[in-house]
Amino acid sequence: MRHKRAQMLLGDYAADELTATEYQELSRHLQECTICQKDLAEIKQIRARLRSFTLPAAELATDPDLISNSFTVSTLVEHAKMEDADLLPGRMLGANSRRPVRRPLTLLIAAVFTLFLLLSTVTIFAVVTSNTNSTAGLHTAPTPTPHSEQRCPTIASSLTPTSTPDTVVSTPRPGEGNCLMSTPTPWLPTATPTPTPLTPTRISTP
Amino acid sequence: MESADIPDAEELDLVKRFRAGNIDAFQPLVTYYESRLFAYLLQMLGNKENALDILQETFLTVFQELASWKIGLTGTTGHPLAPWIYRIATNKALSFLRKQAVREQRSQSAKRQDHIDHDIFPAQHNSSLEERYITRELLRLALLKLNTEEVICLIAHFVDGERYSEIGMRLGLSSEAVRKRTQRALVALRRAYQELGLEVP
Repeated sequence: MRHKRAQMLLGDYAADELTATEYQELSRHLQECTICQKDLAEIKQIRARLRSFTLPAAELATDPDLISNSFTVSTLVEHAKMEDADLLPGRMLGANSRRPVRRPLTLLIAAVFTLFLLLSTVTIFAVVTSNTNSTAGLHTAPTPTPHSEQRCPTIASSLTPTSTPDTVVSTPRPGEGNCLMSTPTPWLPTATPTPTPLTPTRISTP
Repeated sequence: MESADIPDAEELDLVKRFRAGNIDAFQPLVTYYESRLFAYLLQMLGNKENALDILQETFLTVFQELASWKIGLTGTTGHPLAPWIYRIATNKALSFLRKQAVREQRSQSAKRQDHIDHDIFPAQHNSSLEERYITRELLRLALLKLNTEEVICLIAHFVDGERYSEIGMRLGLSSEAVRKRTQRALVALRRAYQELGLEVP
């Protein structure tokens, strides 16, 4: 048996998974090849180590940790309804719920993304609002403030600091100050001059 | 709690009843696979806390996706659900191990964060703490190098001592397919063995 093929079959040799013919050929090769002998010893060492992890499932069926955390269909149904499995508050069943199943990194990323969206929305809204205000003054008339709520500068200056801005100023009686204002007139745009009609010019004839 | 056996025909019947709306049909499946998966995950992870967490996630996924499981693509005899359920459990455990490895790299700390339960494996009771740690590291490093099916074959063959034919029947694979996966698993194990600086005495 060639060395390369022997190397490939060493694992199966250690596991007793070779055919009778393969076993005999490899055995003869091992008598002569020190490299394969050493490799086989390593493989057997690895196998022996891993066998120490053997756990009969039947014995574990009575493990107290497994029993106390055993699952029932009802709690599986509850958690299956939850939208985000990452937000499970803890182990589904049993009195021994300990470590939560939350994933802090996921929550952190979600929080940062939400904050970014909020800030973007506020910024866009502010820009749109300021643009709207700057262009609105050229074309639309502001809503006239009811007369009763107009603040007379004289009265406003006499307001005590404790007065609230929403305090409605009563209409001053005639003679009180000079703040009796006339009926507010609609604001007329002045930026755009009123176009004057063209007057025809007499063309003199020669 | 006893781990009852379910004949394969009955297992398919349970699936059909579940899909018809009888969710209680899921309970016998939990009872059967619970201790087996727990043992399997303990072997992979070496820690009861982690194994129970992954077991929880596995059953939740199986419960949510059983309706779309395709009969016939997995397993030929025995328990038709087994290959699918073990693959789910293995994927979740591997994902956990990989994230753990990344966290350890970032923390630049040689110490492992999770507690390794040294009392779980009776066969290790005569080994020193150092030996148990080395063996656990050997397995962990090897698992990180393998895909899902190779991991299943590694645990089944090298840890549980199952023969290629037995593994093939359980997973719906040919003996030759199991042999190839087991050989790749052995390559990963030998590489991990050398990374740990271990030598044959």
